Amino acid sequence: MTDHELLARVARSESWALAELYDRYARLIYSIALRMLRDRGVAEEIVQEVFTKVWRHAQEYSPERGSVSTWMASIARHRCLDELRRRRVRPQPQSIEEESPIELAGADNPEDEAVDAVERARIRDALAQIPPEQRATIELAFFEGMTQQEIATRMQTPLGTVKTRIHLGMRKLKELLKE
Amino acid sequence: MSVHDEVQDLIPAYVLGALDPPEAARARAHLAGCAECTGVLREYQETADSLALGVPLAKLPPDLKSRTLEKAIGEGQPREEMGLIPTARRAWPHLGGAQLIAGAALVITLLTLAWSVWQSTQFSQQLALQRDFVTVLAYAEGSALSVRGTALAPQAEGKLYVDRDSNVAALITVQLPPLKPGQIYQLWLTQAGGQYKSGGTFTVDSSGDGWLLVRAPSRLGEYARVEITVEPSGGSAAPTTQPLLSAALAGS
Repeated sequence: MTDHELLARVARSESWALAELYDRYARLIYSIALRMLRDRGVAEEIVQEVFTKVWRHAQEYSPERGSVSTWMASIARHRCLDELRRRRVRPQPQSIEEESPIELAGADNPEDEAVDAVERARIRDALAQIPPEQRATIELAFFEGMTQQEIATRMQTPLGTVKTRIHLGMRKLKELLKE
Repeated sequence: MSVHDEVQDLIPAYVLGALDPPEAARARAHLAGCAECTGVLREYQETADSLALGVPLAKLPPDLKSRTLEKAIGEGQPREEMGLIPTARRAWPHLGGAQLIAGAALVITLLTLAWSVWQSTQFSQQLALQRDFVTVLAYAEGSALSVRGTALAPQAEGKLYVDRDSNVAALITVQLPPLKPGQIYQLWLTQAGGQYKSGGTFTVDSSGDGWLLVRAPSRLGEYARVEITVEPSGGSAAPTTQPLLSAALAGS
């Protein structure tokens, strides 16, 4: 059953379809949240919130907005950006987990892994092909929610350099992902 | 540099959310009326969206699935409105009314009360069944087994949410052929020696969708295969037709 069909069934309040979507995409959502927030507890809350939103608003999804995985990843990222903004306004003590490595998943569920494994590898390859400083700048913007000015301050780099890195890096990534 | 050219330069940073608020507002205003820039935006948006899909995958906490499904599905919704599965009829019979003579009204009232009690019992049983079903579904951590349609029903498929150490499982089927009157679907669990044990019976809706809270006589890990056949209403002691869905349980 395709993701679109599953989501249509979620929209009809068929909870088994949500369980199936969880099996397909919870790991991705959790990983995005962990990558952005570096806090396992909050990442778990994000997963719960994303699937609650999918359960309640599945009928709002339309294929023109991209694939189901992209839609769900976008919900997760925006929720994480909200959390990052909240942290900036009310800074918290540094989490112990910020210092500990993320435990990566093994191939313990090959069927699930196969869902987007090829696409993920393609994206990682593309990222690996752009210069490290461009990649780091893009990741600070995308995963940390930083503006170009904030990145310039963080990296102690002129603002114009940051703009150039984002422009060139994104253009190269776009070309690589089109291939 | 024209506003158009300037915004085209801003688009890569815009899709990353990296523009300062005044720059972002300027870009948004131009994008609203420029088809060419909107096309460029779409391309870059796809690129930005891809970044999230490329993150290294982390291990999921083992109990997160049950907590997530409980929160998403269970929060703020009465169970009967979850629509997980066909629920008992909720329409209550209406009383006759003033035009009926008193005796007939009394009879109807009594019949209605009896019907209501019966309905209520059926309804409670159905809800209990649904609750058990959701529980199995929620706690089957990453162990959904694909049940494939055989040559008799190649379009049919199913998922069996199973904990092999227990004797209950949750089965979902889609696109099974519609049943004729007097027929029912029956799930069979086969042991290594070839004996069949019934795991329960179920029907499907007009789309061929069905569900079953499977109850096995013993631990599910003791069975080799699961099969679904069409049987006469009430079920059979052993399969009387060829399976339409089938899957291996052992070693999967």
